[in-house]
Amino acid sequence: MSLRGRLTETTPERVSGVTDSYIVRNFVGALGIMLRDRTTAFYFAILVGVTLLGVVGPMLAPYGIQETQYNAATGQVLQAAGPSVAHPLGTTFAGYDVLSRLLVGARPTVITGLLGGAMILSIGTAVGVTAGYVGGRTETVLMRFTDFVYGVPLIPFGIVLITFLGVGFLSSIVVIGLILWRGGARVIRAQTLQVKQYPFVRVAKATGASTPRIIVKHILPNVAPMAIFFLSLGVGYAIVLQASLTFLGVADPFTPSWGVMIRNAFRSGYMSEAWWWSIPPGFLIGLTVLSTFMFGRGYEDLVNEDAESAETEAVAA
Amino acid sequence: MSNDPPLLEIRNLEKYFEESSNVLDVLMRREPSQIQAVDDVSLTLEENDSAAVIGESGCGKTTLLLTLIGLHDATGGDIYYKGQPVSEFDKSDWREYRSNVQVIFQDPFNSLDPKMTVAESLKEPLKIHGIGDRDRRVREVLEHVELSPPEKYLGRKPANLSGGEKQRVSIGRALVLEPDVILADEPVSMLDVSTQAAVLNTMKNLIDEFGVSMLYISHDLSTVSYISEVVNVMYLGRVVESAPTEQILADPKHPYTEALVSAIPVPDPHYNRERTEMSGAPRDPVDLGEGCRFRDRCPAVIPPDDLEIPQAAYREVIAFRERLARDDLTLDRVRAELDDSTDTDALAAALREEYFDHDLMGENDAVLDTALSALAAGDGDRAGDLLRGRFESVCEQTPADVTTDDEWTVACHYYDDDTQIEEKRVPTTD
Ligand code: SF4
Repeated sequence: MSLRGRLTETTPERVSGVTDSYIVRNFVGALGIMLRDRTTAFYFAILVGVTLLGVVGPMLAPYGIQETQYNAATGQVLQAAGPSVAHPLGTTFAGYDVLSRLLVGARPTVITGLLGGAMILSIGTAVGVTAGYVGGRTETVLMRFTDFVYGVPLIPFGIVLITFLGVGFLSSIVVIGLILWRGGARVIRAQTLQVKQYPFVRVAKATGASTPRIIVKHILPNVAPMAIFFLSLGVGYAIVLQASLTFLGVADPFTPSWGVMIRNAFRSGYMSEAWWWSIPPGFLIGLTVLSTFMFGRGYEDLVNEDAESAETEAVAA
Repeated sequence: MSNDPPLLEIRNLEKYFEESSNVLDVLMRREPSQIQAVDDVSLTLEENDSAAVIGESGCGKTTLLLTLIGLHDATGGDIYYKGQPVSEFDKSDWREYRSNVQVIFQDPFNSLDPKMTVAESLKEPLKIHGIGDRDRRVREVLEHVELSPPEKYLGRKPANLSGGEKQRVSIGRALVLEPDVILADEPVSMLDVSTQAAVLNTMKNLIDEFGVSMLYISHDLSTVSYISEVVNVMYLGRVVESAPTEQILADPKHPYTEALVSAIPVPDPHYNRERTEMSGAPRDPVDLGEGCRFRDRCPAVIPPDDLEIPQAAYREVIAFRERLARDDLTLDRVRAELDDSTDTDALAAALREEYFDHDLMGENDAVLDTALSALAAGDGDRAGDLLRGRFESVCEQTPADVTTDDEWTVACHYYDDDTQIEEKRVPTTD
């Protein structure tokens, strides 16, 4: 059989192999349950929209972000000019187009959210599951460390860390991830302790399943709903924290995120007059963060769903 | 054949836990309390054999099971699999043991991973042990546990199965590796009665068909006769009686077994069986010490030879002494109810009121009075000594196991002397 024939033959199987994969299937299933709720679906749509904006925003921007805009008639620089047809959201103090900056600024914001959220999720889950499943001294050490990180005040410590790592866009995200995993670690440990007690884990152990196997096949899928919840919270927190750090001037001011826009507006002293400059990025940050939290709340539906099906089972049994 | 070592043998197995000590204990240099969950238990399971372990919850049967599947380390004694001690297992021995000894847990709702389909749950043991031809094996096993056609169940998740179906899947998962031994922990107790019988029958057929041996663990004597030929009755960590099922149900020897048997509901409402009463619940298996562990609830505690006392009154004395020794008397409450809390005579009288319904005679009465007065005056030790001097029972020594030829073992002082188990003891219950 030709190589091509073999390829076409195996492809559908591969595809169904992926959708059938244990983790993908459960993830998609969980998302399906969550989206059944209208409100959750609404916020999910907003999040998808913001993410899309992060991808295509820079392409849609009508002007360059550092392109000084001039009044066509007088040739003057448009300093903090109000909304007009050519500049629907006005211009900044330096004469840049606000709408363009907003569109371009979506990308760093989305990257912050995803990267920060992913770091929070992975560190939190790794620490939580290890502590919960392995137990003993490992657990004590890990949880003491988590408590310690809990005691760390967020903003001051962020500032200190950034001075070490150097001010920069990525380093600010890393700092966020290094601090905010703590909440997830605690909750996921608690969940792991619970799942670990279930007979199906004991049966797997008695049959000779290795620890990694039990963690991957049994623990992770069963703490996944909680992990999704923390992912969405983490995305929101990461965006907010980055905006705060930016505002305080300890994140890279040259990456044109929404946080940087607010900061520039404030620094220019025109914040209150040039409302078109500061309100749109503020609104977008708020909307994004709110959506992540509200989407995370949809997790409750997931838990209720489980409880409900358990109830019907009990009746059926 | 008979020279082969038994398939699974438990010899003098002990599993103690230390009650977690808090800072105060450490400061006071108190010895941590010991929980004697399993204490000197011996059992044998031959090939194609089916034995049961029966006991109330908290008697240590689940600890026994978890020790058997290697989730607990034994404190003492050992488990022998085909003559080889588990404590000397190396990695490959454990692998073999884990594929040959399978377990079914009580709770069908949490025995299957809610995120896995039936097919995945059943394939997991095969994957762990690297056995191929999984699809066929899984289908076959589903048919064996009477879930057919298999196609109907393969893709389902536990949420879409009834309790009985789930437990059948659990049984299937235990069978799919074709093990030698299945350990079943109350496999049907959480199912409703009609399902229970069906699932038990399936299990029974499967043990015959597959030639597996089963250790059936339950609190419920009434389901045992479906499955097991031999019953071991466990009380607070010890096996108190073991005998073939038929015999033990017809003629229980140990007072505890007797109470369990008489608690089995009788289908015929006109048949009025004599009920043995057994009060309260077993105590906590903490720091149990010497003596028969059933003595505080035993309806037949043995008084000293020279003591003239009705059984009911004697049991009250024994129960009172137990509580005194364990510091478990509600002294403060009784005192608080008195008009004058300093009046020791009134306190002694109130205690008598509280703990004794039956009257005692002569010397017995006098000793009890003196003891209660001592207790009311705050000298609990002297009260204890006085009562022991008069009322000490042989039951305060640990009874030895007495075995007859037909494999009937019982640990109770009634059967000490001439090992005449056959001779049923005189019922002394009131
Ligand atoms: S030894 Fe004594 S207390 Fe224990 S069961 Fe026998 S008669 Fe009862």
